[in-house]
Amino acid sequence: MARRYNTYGAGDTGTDKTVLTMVSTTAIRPKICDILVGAGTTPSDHASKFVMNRFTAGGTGTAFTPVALDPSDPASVFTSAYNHSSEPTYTAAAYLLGWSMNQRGTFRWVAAPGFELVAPATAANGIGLKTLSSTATADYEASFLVEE
Amino acid sequence: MSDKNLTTLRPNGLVIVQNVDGSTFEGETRQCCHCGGHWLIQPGSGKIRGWCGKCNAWFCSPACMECVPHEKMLDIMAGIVNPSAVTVAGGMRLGKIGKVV
Repeated sequence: MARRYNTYGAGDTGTDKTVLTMVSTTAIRPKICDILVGAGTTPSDHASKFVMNRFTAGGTGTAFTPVALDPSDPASVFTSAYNHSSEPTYTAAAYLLGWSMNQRGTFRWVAAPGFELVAPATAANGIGLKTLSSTATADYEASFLVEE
Repeated sequence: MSDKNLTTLRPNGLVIVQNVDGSTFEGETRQCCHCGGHWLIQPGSGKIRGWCGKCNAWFCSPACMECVPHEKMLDIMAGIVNPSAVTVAGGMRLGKIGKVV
């Protein structure tokens, strides 16, 4: 049975920034089955476009150690990062999910079993959540539930 | 565009948005059988989607019309499968009113 993990992080404040990434390895195909997005601070009345985008290099960010939903599971094979100082190398227009939302709202997407967002079994490849455009400086945080 | 949000029998994903005014929006997504992306189902949006007869599933846009199944595409990205060895014929595109074009 697949193991499930939670990963969480807040993006660097600014426009067109990556909020959170999930990075694959050659050993597994990690799958994102749940996405939650909201604002971590007192949000202003502005909106942003979000996309889940494939990337081929993970950039530089703060690592978040994924937490196993089942405490008896071993450490995850995939890795995760947030608060990127250097953006991942995104594949053009490889958007796996897109939406717009007000910073004061919250967003959740849940995949039906078997219809998750899947990353290839390739080192440094993965899927990132990023803002495409914002009406003001955005400050978001997100959480992924990942299966591997 | 229709105001119906929950329209499909077997959705591939569910979206829940808590709006600024406290109201909640719920919608359904479908997954493209070729690129693996999801889209929010919005009846009357005018966007062209399609049906692949080989995968027996939906695809998201004319750009995804060629049949490279999602699993195969992941193998290509991982370098396991040679892209030139993949069959690409067999997909078809639907127009806005559901006719093959």
